[in-house]
Amino acid sequence: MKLTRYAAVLGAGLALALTGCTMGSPDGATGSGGDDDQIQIAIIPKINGIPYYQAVEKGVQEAADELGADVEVIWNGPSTAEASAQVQIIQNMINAKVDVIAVAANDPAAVAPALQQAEDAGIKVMSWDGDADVRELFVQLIDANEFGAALADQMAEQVGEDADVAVVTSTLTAPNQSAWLEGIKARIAEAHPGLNIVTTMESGEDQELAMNQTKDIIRAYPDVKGVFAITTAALPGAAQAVESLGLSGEIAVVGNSTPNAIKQYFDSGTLKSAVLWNPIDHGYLTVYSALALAKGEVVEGEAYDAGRLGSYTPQADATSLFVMLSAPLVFTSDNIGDYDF
Amino acid sequence: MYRDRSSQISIAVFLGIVLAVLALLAPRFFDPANLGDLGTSVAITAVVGLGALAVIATGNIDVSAGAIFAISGVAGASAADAGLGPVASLAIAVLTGAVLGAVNGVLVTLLQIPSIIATLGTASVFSGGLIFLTDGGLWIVGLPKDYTWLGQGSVLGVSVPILFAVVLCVLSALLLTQTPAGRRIFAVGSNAEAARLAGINAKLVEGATFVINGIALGIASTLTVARLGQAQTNLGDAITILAITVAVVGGTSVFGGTGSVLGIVLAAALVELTRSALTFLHLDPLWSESLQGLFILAALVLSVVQRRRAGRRLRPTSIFRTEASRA
Amino acid sequence: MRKRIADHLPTAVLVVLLVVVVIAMSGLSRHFLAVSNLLSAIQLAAPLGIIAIGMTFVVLIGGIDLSVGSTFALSAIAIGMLCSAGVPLALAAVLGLLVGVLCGLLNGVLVSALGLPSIVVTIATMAGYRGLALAISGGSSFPIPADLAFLGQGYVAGVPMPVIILVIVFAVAAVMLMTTPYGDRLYALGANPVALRFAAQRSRRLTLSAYVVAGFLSAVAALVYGTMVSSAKSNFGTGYELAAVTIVVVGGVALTGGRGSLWGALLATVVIALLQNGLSISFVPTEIQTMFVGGALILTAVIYRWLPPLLVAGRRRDTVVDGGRTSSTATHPATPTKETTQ
Repeated sequence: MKLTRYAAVLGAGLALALTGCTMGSPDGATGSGGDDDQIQIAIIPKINGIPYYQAVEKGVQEAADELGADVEVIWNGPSTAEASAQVQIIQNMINAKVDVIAVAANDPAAVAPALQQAEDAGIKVMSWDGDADVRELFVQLIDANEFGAALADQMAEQVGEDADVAVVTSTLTAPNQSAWLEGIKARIAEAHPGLNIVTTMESGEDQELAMNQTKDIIRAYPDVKGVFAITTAALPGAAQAVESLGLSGEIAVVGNSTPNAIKQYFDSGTLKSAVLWNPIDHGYLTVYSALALAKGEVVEGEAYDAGRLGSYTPQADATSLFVMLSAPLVFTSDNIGDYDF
Repeated sequence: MYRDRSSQISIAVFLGIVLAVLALLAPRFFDPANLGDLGTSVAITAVVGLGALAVIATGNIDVSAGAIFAISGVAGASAADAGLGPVASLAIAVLTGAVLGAVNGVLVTLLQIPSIIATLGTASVFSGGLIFLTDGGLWIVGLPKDYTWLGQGSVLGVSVPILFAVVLCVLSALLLTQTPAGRRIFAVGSNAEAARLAGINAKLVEGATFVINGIALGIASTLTVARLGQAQTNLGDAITILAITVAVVGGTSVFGGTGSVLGIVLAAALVELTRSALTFLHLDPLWSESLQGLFILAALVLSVVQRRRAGRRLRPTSIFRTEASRA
Repeated sequence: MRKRIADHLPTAVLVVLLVVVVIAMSGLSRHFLAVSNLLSAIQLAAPLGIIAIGMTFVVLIGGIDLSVGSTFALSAIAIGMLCSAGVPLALAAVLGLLVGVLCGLLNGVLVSALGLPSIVVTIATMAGYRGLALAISGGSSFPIPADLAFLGQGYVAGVPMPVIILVIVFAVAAVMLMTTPYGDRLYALGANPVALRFAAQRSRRLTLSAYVVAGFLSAVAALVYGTMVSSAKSNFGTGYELAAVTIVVVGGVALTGGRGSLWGALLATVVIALLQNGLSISFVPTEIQTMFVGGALILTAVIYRWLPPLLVAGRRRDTVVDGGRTSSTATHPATPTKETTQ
């Protein structure tokens, strides 16, 4: 068809023009053909555009800046917290021939085939935050059982040994969430059998939904004395719910979130304590770990350098090796002001 | 104007059934505090629904509602955080929403792209743009008390969002039924060709409805952020579907030309009620999403059955305007 | 004259877009033009492409199916849970496909028999099906046994299986739409629903069939995808419905129904897949990618809307100049480029 022929010519012309424009752009594009000495590390968070991961990215950027031109760090996350989107990114990173892929998996099994392909192609694979079934190293946020235990203990401290409690989580399909929930339940069974979880609600990353759900729970289950809000967006939402109902101090709220988001609730007394880790440090450590992995320095029992965080020594686990970012940090109104993220 | 009583009746019936079940099984639902809270949620949802009503009544659709909600909410919160005070912050949120709505309006009226395509495109551009401009996401905390009063305060025992919603609903109802402008909206929705021949500037009307939707979303997001005391960039995730659901369940025909404010309010009540009721009835949260879908479907079926019995035929055209009436 | 141009336009535009994308993306990254990269890009897009083919059937009759992503998830969960329960793999796969058919059937019945608007019905079933998937799976992930893995991960003559399945689905669907009476009737229904309404029974069955096809193909996509990632989870395919609509629109299938071809949907799948792949391996941030896709959608929609009238006007002017005869066609009131009202 004549039209199609004209079209192809027009297309070629447009393409040349477009390429001329894009090649001049200082976008991340220029790094794709980077020199072979430079180590390219692809960091894939669970989702792009959530403030929590913005904090992680800060740490990643800090590490990248420190390491200078030897390392190129690529931050590329999916727009939905779904494994399929991550599989696409992993595949693209394989094709872009990066040196290390570090992924916070939305589903440990779903990303495994793609990660195996990466390994087969000679790319080092590691996981962080959300573990994957195929990886040489896992930079773990926190031990699920320790974390769950800390939360359960805090709850028991605030509501006593005999009470109804409820849980607000992000989604029941998120592996971290279910692992932490198991940790909480295990600790309850072991040390606080009088605590009874009456319901578990999903709020996604929606702070408003968490707030509304908490209000509903408090009203629908009048015997509930405490709420576990175990995701970053839910804790302030739940605290807000308790506060707006005027029940500050009467209903305990326990969970995890970033200090800035919950500081105000410590001031008002709604929150007595929260369990935290430092997402900035997590990102920072991930980059240094990736570098160590690329250089072959990740060996069981041998410490590798992690910049300002000191050194970390990988331990063996069921899949391969792991390091733990830190023990759960418990925050109270005394020390919450010391942190800014 | 074209009032469709049948769907209003069916939603009211549904509401009645749910309320009756709640009264029997979970009387605690009717605590004044809970109802007040529910009322606030319904109010904000109703405002969102009003915006959707305007757009759908002219036969268009706006799937970028969630993105506009998020951007205007973040804009307003940023202003409040910078100390600009509640009035200015609200104004900024509304203005942002209006501008974004205008972009949609231009695409649909001047470039004549079908609204579902245009707003699908702008949804991506807006949400991607928000993440890009906020450098990965924003979380504004500790908003000033005079601003959060908009979402948490009350006047004479009635919460501020409810007051907002009441005022807006009354204004909209008057606009739609008593003024020429309102009649034009339904006219364009019913039959754009005929409306044009009658001298109505269909393009202006359609464009205006997108701006109206943006304004409504700006107000609703301000109330939401104020209620929360914090603002995250993922504010709008559930809003798009919510807006369409409320509008449609509320009797706004996707073919255009019908709709009522009362329907919107009833639908907002039904949607918020089902969400809450599931908790109060101690139903397994795992089933909540499917039950909500089921509920909406039932409400729809009922409204259609009602309509059939009332003898109205549903027009057999596509929900997307044909090329002819676009020209 | 105008109709013919409008019909061939999408293919031409998409070819241009394809060329533009390929050249631009290869300029951004030296890894783009590798055969393995191009194939993997299309492989990853195959499930969505299969869904888009199903969506095309529905859009051709003037409807829309926003529940395809949820049907996708529910079928995947069905397959995963059945496999875990010990059901023979082939049977599990077939039952999963059946789930897709049933989902489509429900949509079709609600739209054809009850006359409910498709956009509204499918928004409700979108929540319903996914909610069901969540409820019965409890949020957990179910492994899909390695014996089925070749469907999603295998290669035949160097071409990934998902790509082959996409091509087969396309071929069958294309034959159905372009050569059989069924296809003719489907186009007719979309183009002129009023006329066909007089044969009400048939139009109802046609409508029903379109939704069943969409549901079935969503299930096929689920099988391909589930075997690609060797697992099944209820949050699969989030956002796929809007992505499928995007592909269909970029592919030039008119949302009003009755116009457009599967070639458009297939080419659009490839163009968008390569665009996203190219941007991704050039390390362009995700939010920019999102904006690009949104921009591409609007751009193609503008082109489809404005190019035919401009081309036609161009040709009419040629007719006038030729031979020096003043033809009245240049000022023919039907020239669609002019806004004669307002």
